[in-house]
Amino acid sequence: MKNLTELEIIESVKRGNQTDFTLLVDMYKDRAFSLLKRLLKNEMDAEEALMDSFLKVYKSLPNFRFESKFSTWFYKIVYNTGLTFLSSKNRRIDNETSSIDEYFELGENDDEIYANAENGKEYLLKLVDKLPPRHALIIILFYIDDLSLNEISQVLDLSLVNTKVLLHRSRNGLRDMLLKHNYQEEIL
Amino acid sequence: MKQINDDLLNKYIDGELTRQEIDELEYFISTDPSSLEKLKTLKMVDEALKKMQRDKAPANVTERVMSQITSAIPDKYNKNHFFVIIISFFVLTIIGMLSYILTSYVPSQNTSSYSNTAIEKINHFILSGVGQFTSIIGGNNFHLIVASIMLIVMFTIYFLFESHKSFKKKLDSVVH
Repeated sequence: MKNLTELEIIESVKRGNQTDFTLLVDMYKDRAFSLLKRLLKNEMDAEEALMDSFLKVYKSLPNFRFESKFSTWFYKIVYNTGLTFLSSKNRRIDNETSSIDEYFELGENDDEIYANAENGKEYLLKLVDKLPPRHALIIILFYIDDLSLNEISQVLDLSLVNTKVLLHRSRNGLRDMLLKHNYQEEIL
Repeated sequence: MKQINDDLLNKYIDGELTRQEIDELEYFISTDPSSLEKLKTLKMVDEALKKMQRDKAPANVTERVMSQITSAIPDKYNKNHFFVIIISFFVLTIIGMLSYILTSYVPSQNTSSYSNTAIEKINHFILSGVGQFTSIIGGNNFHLIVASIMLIVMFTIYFLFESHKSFKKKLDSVVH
């Protein structure tokens, strides 16, 4: 396997070395899949959208001008592909205003989630999957992919303030559920 | 500090408070067990989320992506190579034909007496060239040259048309 930096891989693919794109796919496939799985709430749909996303990234790569970080540009394409997929399935993510004001109730399927979780950590991870799509995506992008709130706001096309509000709400919702079951001492 | 609320606790977790705000928050929290428990649990959520693992993409995703790309989009290098060959062939043939026509031009000897000025020389050259061209057109070479050019043009148009049709088809299959 070639030992190239991300920048070198991008430039190589832009020069026409199609096979070097495999290196980018290997680097980003798990990240993209994690994001799409939380957005689409379905593994098969996520897999299909993953293929579409990489195809779009490949086609759009000649237009990437290094004006932002590649990861931000990449996640934006993946997120938009996920949204297109949702709309094709007659599901959609609400616009920014309604999404921010959206009330989410994590306690809806709580009995089932609580009964199936072996410990506090597993319970917490299952709850993340039950968060509304944008809330879950912010958790994934912030905690797993190490994106800054500014980068996340660019990916999700939200204002920085609203991105922060969604992150806070997600954490507060998860915290309240842990408190409800007295998991607070156990989880770590 | 006005009041301890969730927003403040989150800012504390994210390290967005000033030293003075932190001191005030810690003082108020020490007197409020309920807020202290909320902050501790929020910290636990934060720590637990930091340890989350990425989901693994399904097996063979890379191979499938590359296969999809190869079938949907022609290799840029091969595509350029193909067009360069076609266009080079066309251009070289045209150059060859023009060279043949020009080298077959032989200036006539009986008009040199009056071609003294530059304008007269140019006029003479053009008239001679037209005469030569007319003689080629009138000759057997004309049919050969026209047939060759037409053949090359037809081949070029055919390859360009087929290539465009194939690319459009692949593009449609990607978009839809």
